[in-house]
Amino acid sequence: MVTITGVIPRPNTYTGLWSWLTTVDHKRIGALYGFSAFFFFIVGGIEAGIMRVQLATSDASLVSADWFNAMFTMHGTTMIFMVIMPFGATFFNFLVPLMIGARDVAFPRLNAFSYWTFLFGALLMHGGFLIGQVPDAGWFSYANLTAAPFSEGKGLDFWALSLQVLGVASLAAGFNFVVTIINMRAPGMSLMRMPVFVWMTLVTSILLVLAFPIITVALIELTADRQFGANFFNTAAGGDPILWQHLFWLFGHPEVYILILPAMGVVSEIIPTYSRKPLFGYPVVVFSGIVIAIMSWAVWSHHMFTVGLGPIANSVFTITTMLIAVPTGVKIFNWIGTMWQGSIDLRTPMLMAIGFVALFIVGGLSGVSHAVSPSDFQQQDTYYIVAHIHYVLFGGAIFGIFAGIYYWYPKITGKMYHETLGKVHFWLMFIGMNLTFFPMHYAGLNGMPRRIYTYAEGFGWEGMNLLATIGYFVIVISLLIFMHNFFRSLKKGEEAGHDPWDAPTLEWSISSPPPVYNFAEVPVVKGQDAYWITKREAAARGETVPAEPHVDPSTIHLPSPSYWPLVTAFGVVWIAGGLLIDVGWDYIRFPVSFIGGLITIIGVIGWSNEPPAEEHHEPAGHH
Amino acid sequence: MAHVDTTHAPAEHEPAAHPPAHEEETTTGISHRKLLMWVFLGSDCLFFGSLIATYMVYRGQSIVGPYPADIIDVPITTISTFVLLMSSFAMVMAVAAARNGNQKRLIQWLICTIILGGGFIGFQVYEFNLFRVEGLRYETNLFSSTFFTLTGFHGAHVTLGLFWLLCLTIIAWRNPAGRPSGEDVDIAGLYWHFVDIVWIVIFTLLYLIGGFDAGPDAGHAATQGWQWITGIFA
Amino acid sequence: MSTNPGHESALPHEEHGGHEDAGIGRFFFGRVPAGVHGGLKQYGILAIFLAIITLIEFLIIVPEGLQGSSIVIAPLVILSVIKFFCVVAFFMHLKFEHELLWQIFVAGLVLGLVVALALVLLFGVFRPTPRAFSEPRAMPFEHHGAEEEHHYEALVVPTPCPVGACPPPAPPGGSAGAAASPGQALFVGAGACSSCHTISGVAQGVLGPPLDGIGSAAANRIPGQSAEDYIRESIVEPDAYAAGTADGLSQDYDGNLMLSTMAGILPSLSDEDIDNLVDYLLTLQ
Repeated sequence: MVTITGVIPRPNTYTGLWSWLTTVDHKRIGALYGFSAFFFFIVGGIEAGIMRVQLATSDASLVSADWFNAMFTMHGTTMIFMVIMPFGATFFNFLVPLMIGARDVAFPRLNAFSYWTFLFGALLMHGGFLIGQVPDAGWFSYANLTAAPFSEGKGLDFWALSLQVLGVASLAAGFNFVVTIINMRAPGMSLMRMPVFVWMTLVTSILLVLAFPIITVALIELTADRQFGANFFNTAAGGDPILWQHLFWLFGHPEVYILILPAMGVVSEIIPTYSRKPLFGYPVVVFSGIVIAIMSWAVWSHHMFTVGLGPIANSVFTITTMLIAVPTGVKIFNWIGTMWQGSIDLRTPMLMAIGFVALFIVGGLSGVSHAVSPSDFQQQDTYYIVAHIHYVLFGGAIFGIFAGIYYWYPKITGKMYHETLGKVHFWLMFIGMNLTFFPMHYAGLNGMPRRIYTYAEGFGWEGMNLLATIGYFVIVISLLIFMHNFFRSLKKGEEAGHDPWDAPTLEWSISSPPPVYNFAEVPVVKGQDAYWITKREAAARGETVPAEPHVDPSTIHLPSPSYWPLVTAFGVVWIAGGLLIDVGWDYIRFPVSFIGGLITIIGVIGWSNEPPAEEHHEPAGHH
Repeated sequence: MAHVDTTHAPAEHEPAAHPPAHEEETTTGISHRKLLMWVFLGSDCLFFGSLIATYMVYRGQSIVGPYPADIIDVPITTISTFVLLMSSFAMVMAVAAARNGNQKRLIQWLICTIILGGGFIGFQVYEFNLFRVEGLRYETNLFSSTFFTLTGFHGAHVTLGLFWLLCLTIIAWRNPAGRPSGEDVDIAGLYWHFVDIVWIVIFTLLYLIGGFDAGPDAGHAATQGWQWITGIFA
Repeated sequence: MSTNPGHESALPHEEHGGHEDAGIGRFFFGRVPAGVHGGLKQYGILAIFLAIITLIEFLIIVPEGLQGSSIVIAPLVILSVIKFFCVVAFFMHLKFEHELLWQIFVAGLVLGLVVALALVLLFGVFRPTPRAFSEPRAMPFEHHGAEEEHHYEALVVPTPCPVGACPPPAPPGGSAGAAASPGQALFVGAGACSSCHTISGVAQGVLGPPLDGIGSAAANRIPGQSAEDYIRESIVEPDAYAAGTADGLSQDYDGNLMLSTMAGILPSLSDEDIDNLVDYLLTLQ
């Protein structure tokens, strides 16, 4: 086994394509996550556009009903699993080690493995487009729409197996960040001194590692039903499709908080910086985040009020769902309290953060309105729900993500973005977002069902739908401005300096972009808002705090790049891809899948036999 | 699937040749790998919890036979449970040997663990094949689907553990630079014991309690019990 | 020798990992500093203890009267919980570890338990048994390997129960009791026609067209074809003529599903069965 590692020399380049394929640097992996997520954001956005154009007028025929099904399924799946989650991972990767004063994550190669598995899984799911077999049962793929007789072709198999692969990626990332945050904090950084973003990352990661096993089981059962003739959701054998809904939402509701908590963390970093005040009620923000995570396990059946769980279950879940609004509302008061009497600087990140708070309140309120089960009977499966989910996921998560992108752009690239273009982006996106999704409340309460591919004239839905479609194009324009701003500023933006915002967290204490080793000297943390403390102590002494000097990188012990995460990820996705093969002889799937298993095993063995870092220097002696 | 990750645990480790003081300075004093393994085990609880929940929800809901009572052989499985339990004992002795740096004992106990674990898998293969011959195929009824999925994934965990232990044995045999370290064996041991405790739960629920369910209405006693309890408050 | 650098506990180094560092009583019940490990003696005792518990569990269910009875559930669960925690605390030496590891594992364990209990509760208590609902409504389930279906008739035909295990699904709304004719028995029984077709008071399938009044309607479907020939053809050669195209009926039904379902059923019907079915359907006026 040891010989396997001997055959291929270890990659040792730090530039060019291979350096990106073999990198284990958390900052590069973060960037890879970011670009992949934005790519899929465009893909999911195009799918949304097709739906909006189709629905702009009554009796439209841009796409068939079947393709419309495929569009809303892939739009939901893409935006949730391939856009918002990896955008979260972008920030986790780039920022968490910097914020806790670490040189990398706890398991750098596992981190690379997470990224490649995510990318391959996402590509595998979109591979269905190439052969015209697209998943089309909705992003939650309710049984028994997914049973073989009702969903012919391979579309649902693509969905189930790719999601399984994406789950592996998320689990690996979740394990990694739990260990990193618990175990790699700089001296002095106790849990209650961690930046709120790190706290929310920890909570999100814990939710990930606890929730994803459930969807893993649900997908195993679905795959077993479809591929191996099992009976889990087969009513003829006594199976119960409701079990799928329970398993899916047992995962799905913690998943909702997996999507929103990172954005809450981002906003909790931005608002104090631009209000020139520490976060109001830091412990309350932290504990309300923890309480949300715990309570997110007790509310899943509010997605299922209309399936007939009976009055007891519906009442219980109504109460728990209304209760979870409390810690969420507490956070909103904390953000507003932070801004209260602060000297507010309305730069683009701050605008985005305030947009997040405002739109999330709207989404939260409509959420409470269908937390009440009798009211939900009216709203179930209408556009009202579509409006709600987009207010919390677009108005919430996406605004939070863009706030983060603008806020950390100077840190990540070393350049300043164009402020005016940023503000134009914000206002257009804010207006477009409301134009798109606010009319959906009315269309929904007016009876327009979700997932219909067209509608007849005379229901009074045309106006609302036309407005929504116009809003969609306003959002598209705002995103074009964002992209222009992003790439233009990379070339022409002015040098940002290491700390353009006078920010409170440790990542701003090092140069921009950060050197590969992050911290030349591991910082010692004296309290919350560690870098503010450092700066104020220095100011009291009449000094300025310089960015850390560059040191000779060869004196710092860093993990070396590796091929094995890529190989292992490739093997994992091959296992899933093999099961999708459909060429006459049914059993060809298994030998092909088995080859993927062998690749995975070779990858793991190579990985295990390779030390994390090549022996070249003694670790830099510090302290 | 979730378990792919376990096998990476041995990977993220500085070679034992490093002086321990430089190996890892962690905030909590727990090594990264051990913490990772425990977080993974916590996560795996949810994995098996969901599979067991599926079995329990569908208990007594099959509408065609064979039913558990027709087919499950509790005495044989008691023996295989005993075998797996003893493999845990062998494993813990291997860990103790590794901590004491006794390479010879380590190899002996590891081989002992592998033989016992392999014996358990042998029992499972025998059992699955017997069921197949007697007409309980994966697609036969709800009982077969839930049973084979749950015990099959447990078997897959055991097989993965066997592979892991085999690797450790080979490494110990070649003995490069004092590997595997005590912690290498310890972490494999944690995984191995976890697989054992999952089987303790499965053995109780699927064999000792559920193994005598006969006919489609079996298992409803529990339901009725619950209804009786809720009836008090109604 | 020590390879566990993390534990800067009060434990002196020479005791670390030693065989006899903690006595048996202290090992199992006492407060022991972190990082202590047992030896053959402690682990051997535990292994014997666990083996005895397994033996007791087995002995509990040896008497036939206790097999599957609800009396044994509590003792069996308690015994296995004891085994579970013995392995976790001593074999996985969680008793001697940082309390954080306890918290992590217990969080997963408790959550898994709560999730499982909640599901059992939701299915068992708040709703009547799902099977009572699903059984009379069960539809034939077409598996992907349609050509293999004749190996597993039990799948194609959802209804048969083992002898005496469950009553035949009584068609709601009257006509309870024995079927009126062999054709009707076949229709609701082994033929599985009722899974897809509706006949008022007899069957309530929704996948295929309703068959109320088919006996009279059949005569008028194709000019020159008698009602009997038409019905027979519809069973034997389902795609010969799609009924109701004119009045917009057939677009509601999945033609491929019909073809494969009917093709799956046909081989199990003898000529006599088909005659009986045709006779029965002709009586529906």
